[in-house]
Amino acid sequence: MDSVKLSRVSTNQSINLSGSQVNVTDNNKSLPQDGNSCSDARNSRLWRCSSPESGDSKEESSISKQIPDIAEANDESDAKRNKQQNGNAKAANDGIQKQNKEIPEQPEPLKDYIHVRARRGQATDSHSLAERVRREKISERMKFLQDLVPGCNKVTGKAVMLDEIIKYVQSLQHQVEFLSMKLATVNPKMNVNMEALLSKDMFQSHGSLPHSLYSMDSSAPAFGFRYQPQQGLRVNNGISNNTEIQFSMNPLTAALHKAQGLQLHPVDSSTLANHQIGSFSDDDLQSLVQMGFG
Amino acid sequence: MNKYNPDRMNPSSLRSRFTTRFLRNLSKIHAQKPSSSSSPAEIFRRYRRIKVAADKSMAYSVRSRRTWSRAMLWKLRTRPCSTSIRKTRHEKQNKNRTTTATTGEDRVGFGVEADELRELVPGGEAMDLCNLLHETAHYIKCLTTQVQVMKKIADFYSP
Repeated sequence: MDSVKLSRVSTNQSINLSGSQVNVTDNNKSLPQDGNSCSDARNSRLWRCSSPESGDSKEESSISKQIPDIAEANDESDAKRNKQQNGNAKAANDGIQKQNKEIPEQPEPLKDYIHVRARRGQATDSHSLAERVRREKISERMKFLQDLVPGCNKVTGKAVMLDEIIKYVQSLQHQVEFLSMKLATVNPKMNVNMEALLSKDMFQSHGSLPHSLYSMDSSAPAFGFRYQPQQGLRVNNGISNNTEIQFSMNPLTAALHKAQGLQLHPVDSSTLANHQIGSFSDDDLQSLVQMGFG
Repeated sequence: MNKYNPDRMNPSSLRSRFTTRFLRNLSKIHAQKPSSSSSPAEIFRRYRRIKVAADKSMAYSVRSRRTWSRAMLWKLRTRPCSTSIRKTRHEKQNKNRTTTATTGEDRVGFGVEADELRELVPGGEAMDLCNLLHETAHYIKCLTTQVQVMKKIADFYSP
């Protein structure tokens, strides 16, 4: 057999045409990324090739050597199998190669390929197989996100999980806005070699900080994320005491109100629950001041 | 005093890259401003500049390795108040890629929330759900880094 080049393809209609051919020269090198493609509509997806080309061709050639063996060993029609393999191969780090149930065990040629077998009692056509793989990918990514977003361990169900993720991203973005607002108002009196000072030991791992902020959110679900303005006023006073500039709220109300709810937590947490944070920053600042001005 | 500094251990980590860039931009912004302006408009302007600087530093720290950073860089470059609006290759790439690739099949069980997430994550309109989740994970990680660093800086400035 000629070298069958099983390139990574996405299923498209042209496969039906080439059904009877052994030659799997497929030129649909759309370089798909993670994520499955199983139908025409998905061909226009955003693809990004993250694996080197040379590696791909090597792997493909090794596949191609085995395919003829299987083809001879099996009673399956070549057309069907090629269609199968053609239809569901993919690119990126883990290419996916769907095989039929009847194909005998072959040595796993490539570490990057995920061999999917049709489950018992389930449809074995390429569409449902790819669909299943895609669903598995999505659930795997959701699990990863669940670890990333604090307070999501007890949440089950994709819809609620997505809501939590959305809320978390929104809260993070608001925090960034609020912090930049804070930085804008602060008057930097000490400009003494800022970078050196700051890079010394300012970046102790405060990995728990945003998580603690967020967990306080989730522990008080009644409040939600937009906190009542009464508490906001308290924060405002605190901030204005810190800075030298008393700014009127009028043009800044919108931005601040949004961010207030989220910035309450560090004020609360530093006073209430997380003593570490307050004391930590004190230590830092003391050491920094000693270093800078001593 | 604890001398443990995770940034020294890994000088090319995302956090240190972002920190150096952001501090540089911040010092530039603070150098520009007049001595002490208390007008809210001035503060607001500075706030916007700092926010943009934060986003820019984050996006530059990630370069073009992620879709969301590419989208953010493109957005920053084609801001209306930017001085040079030129057709960069980023723009061209983004133009090619903004084909909405979502079909009805992709939205099984995720409909509204996925759209909201797409709005939140920059560049999310052109991604299918699987990639969207991937990008979201990295975006969340970068955002947390950003928040931590900015918090430290803000705490440093205002004892």
